[in-house]
Amino acid sequence: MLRLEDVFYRYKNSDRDVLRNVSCSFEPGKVHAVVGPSGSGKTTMLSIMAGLDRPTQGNVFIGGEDLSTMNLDEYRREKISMIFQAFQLFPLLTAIENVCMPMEFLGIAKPEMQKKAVSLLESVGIDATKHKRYPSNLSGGEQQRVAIARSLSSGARVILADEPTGNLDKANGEAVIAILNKLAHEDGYCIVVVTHNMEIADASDIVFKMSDGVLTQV
Amino acid sequence: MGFKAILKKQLKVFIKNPGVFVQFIIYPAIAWMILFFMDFDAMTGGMEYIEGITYEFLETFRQNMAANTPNMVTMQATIFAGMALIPVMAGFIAEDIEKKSLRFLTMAGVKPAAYLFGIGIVVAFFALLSSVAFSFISEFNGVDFWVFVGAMMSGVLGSIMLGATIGILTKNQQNATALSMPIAMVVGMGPLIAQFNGTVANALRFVYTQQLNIVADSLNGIITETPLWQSFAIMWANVAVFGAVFIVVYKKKGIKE
Repeated sequence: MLRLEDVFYRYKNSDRDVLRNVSCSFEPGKVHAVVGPSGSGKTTMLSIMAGLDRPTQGNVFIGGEDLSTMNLDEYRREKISMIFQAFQLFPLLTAIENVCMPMEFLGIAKPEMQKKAVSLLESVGIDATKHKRYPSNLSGGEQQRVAIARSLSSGARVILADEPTGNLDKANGEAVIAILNKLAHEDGYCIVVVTHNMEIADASDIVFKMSDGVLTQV
Repeated sequence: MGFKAILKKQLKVFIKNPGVFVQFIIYPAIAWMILFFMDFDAMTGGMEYIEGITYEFLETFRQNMAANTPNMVTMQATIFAGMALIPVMAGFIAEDIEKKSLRFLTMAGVKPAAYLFGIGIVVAFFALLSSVAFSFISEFNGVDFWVFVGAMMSGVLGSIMLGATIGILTKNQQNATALSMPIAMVVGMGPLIAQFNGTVANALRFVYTQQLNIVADSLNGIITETPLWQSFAIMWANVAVFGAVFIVVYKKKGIKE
């Protein structure tokens, strides 16, 4: 589904490659973990996969199509979703309004948008009593679940997660891992998680290790 | 599509933020109170007992105070254009940068320029409503009504540019407030001080809020040395300079984390 081929990346004004000859593929229906120490290049790889940066050398393919030939705005809006460590919900929008945001960008009609948002929130375990709550009135675990529902609302089939349990306690972290596994195994999403958390790695189907810009499958 | 969604999002954020929203109501409300509740007899009550003050002096003083009321109302509008909008704009942008919600917007395909434009339009729209309210309260009619609104919007645009630049430069709300408040104080309160001090008035003659106040004075029937077109030209020159600074800062620092 998502494939990196001989990818190199070097930041401007740097003489060192942050990613070196990275080749890998991420399949639908599976949870992939990318582990490695800080500064090893994990987040840079995620940014390239998200279309936020372009590789200095090499190619990224989605569904066989080369990312360099695609409109990056459309790619980010329709093909890829992201979950962040700090949730990054809009504090003055309710849970349901946050979930509706990506659909607003896609121009989906309001009734359809509301219906889908309710269904997504319920699918991640946020019951109706909390749909109109602001993020500050939700626990960290609930906020991350709202963020997951939001990432699903655009219809993208690839979910990139950057340390999704980094701000959560053990129980909430496990709940988030369970949701990500369910999304991959039952609904066929392609999930890529960048993490330091070995519990996520242990619960993943495929584990990659990033070390000094070199990616290897464990 | 992204721009429309940003407008909707910002509109919701604006309305749900009482600390911001109230400023667009409270400034015109205070202006209205100045106009209708100012009791000059009460203000000068007791002055007749001051030795040497004559009845004629007190009457003239009261009449002058009453005649200056419209000027006090429009001064309130000038203070609004300078003081309220700079921190509001800076705060909106700094909050989104601080909370990293911009990263989500980037992922949703929103271009930074569309994001900034979206916020600016929402702030300008509410400022336009407040400006119209100020113009009604000032009892401007016909062309004067729209000249005042036009002058206000020129000032609003200057403040939006300044606020956006500060928002990008500071990158968190605390710093945005710390930097924007002193600037807003100078820009907003400067024209008030200039009324009582010629040196300050001279120093501020190229500042947009000072020119906004001069336009208002002129519409209030006060004879000013600066022709209307010149005031508007200075205000638009301010907007152009702030716009150029904004573009430089935006290109250098951007709004991506």
